[in-house]
Amino acid sequence: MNLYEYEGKHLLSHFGIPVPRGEMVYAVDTAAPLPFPFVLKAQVLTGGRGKAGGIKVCTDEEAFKKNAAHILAMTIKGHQVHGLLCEQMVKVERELYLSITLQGVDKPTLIISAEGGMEIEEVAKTDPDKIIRMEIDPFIGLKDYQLRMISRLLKYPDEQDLFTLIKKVEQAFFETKALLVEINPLGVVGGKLIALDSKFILDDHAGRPMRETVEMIEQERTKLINVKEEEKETTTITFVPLEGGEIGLISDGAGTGMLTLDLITDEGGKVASFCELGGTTPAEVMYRAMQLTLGRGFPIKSILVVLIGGFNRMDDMANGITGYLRDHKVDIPIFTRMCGTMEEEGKCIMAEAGLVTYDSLMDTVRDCVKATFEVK
Amino acid sequence: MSILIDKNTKVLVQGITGKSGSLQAKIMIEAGTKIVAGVTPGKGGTVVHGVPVYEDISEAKKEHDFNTVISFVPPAAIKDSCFEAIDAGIKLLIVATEDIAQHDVVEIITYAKCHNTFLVGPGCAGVIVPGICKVGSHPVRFFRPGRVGIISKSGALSYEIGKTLSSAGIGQSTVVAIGGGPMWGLTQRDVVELFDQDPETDVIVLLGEIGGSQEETAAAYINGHVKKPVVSLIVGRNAPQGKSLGHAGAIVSGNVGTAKTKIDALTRAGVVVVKNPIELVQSVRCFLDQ
Repeated sequence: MNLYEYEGKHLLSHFGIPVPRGEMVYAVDTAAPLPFPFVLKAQVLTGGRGKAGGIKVCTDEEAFKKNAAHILAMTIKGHQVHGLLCEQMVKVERELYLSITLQGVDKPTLIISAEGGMEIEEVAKTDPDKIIRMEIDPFIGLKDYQLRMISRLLKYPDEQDLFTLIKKVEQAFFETKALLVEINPLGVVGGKLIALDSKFILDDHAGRPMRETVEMIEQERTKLINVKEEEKETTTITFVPLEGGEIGLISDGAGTGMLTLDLITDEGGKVASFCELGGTTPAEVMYRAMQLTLGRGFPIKSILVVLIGGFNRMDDMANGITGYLRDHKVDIPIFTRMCGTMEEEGKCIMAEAGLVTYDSLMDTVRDCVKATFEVK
Repeated sequence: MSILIDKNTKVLVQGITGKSGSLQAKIMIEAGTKIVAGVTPGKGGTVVHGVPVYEDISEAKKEHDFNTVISFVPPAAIKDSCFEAIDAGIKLLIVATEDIAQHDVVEIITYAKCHNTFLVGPGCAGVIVPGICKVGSHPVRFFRPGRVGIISKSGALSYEIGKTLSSAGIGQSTVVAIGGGPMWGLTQRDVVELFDQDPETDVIVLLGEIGGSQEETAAAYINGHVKKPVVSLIVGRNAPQGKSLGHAGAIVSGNVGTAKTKIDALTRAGVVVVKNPIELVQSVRCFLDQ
């Protein structure tokens, strides 16, 4: 779960990390929640808000009304703005960067840089020496010598303030079981470090660390505006719609799904959607996969189902497919490769419903792509 | 000989009374695997498919010898189960459980490394030595004994390629599936090293996919260290950016984790990178004939 800036800052201040005073605004006709001047910041789950005009300083009531209306109606990189964080103005003396991440690394990794405010990937390109990366032992945490090293490399004057802040961010990272805590920029105001922005990614598989706080965040989320009701998939299915395409792909493994996607593309076909069933799959999940693949509201020319059952039973898979076809009129061809656990039973069920099954993946792909060409 | 498991492998199954654990235990026994004990807290004293179940590993240890543990314990309890297995001094731990919190995964991996326990997974199909035994969920029917070693992240892809090779008359020495990530105990590089040292393996097949940098690390190791021929297939060449395709680890972000960087690194390391299973069979056969 990605957190909005205001949610992340709420968590940060829970751990004693200083953040500017702020209030949320969800509607245009709200009274100014803070004394002027203050900053209005678009709350949206994407970067690049500043450049897009999603951050504005307001010096009086008129500017506030105008800016609030403007930003609340904005769409930034395809994301509609969901609210405004109205934040007290601070005089920033310096900007640094600090994050702890578990993404794309083998160990929790602290990244800190004397250059903050811009994307860390940019700093990595132009000034790689300015970035300090340090692995954190998950059992011991940051060791004192590591902190001393950071201080030496960063040449930050107030060592004690820096150490206290880093230790608090570390605590926030481990106690929330976060995948990422990023403070960029980490400002210096009145000689003290303060989080001027926040990016938090929580782990959906981490159960409920800090139950009360997370529940409060979720409750506050109901106030957000312009939120599209996104249907949350309750099964084990991963469904990824692709741009354009003609073939709906369903597979019972991520690796074979990706292989088939490549094989179809190599044969000149275009995949419209990628659907992976995941785990041990009952017939209902296969049924749901058919529903997702066919229910996107734009025409596809064929369906390719690739099954290689380990945990999966082919009789269940066949029942899912034939069950869907009993309930719905489907007039595009379905190409099914079926092998593995209960293969004979599965093929039998398919044959009774008048459906052909394949054994070779390459043959299935070729026939499927050929059929989509013929429809043209 | 084979890698990781062989005819002397004696297995304890954690979570043997659960739905997956019990079904997989049954299939493993049918495949010739020696499962000597199971553990499920609260179910000690029961018997599953002829295997005695104990409260904990120390209790099982008093009655049985085992060197390998496979775990089907649910995500909320898996970390503690792994610590228990590692503390018991077993040499190989295979974790089938998926959807574990990343913070727990890091602790499991770190703890296993500190204690020199080989960890396969988490979220993996495990290991099969065709004709001898298997510890994991590989369907026996797709594999046959032979001299090709397969290392894959994806379980299903290792079945697919095993099936393709077997039906072309090419058998396998050992097939290892380490899981879809994004973090792993044993890596592709580690398994390639084991295959390179295994006298029963003549050709190594490395099945990779988009995301992370394991394939690049394996390529760096292969270059200069590995004497045996390596054939590789990287899937997800046509995957869209920034979308995770069924495996948490299979995601391209920016320039990191693309199929191209992996294919380039492997090619530079002297690996034959193929585009599909048919080319893979041809290439493997070529090396076996040499």
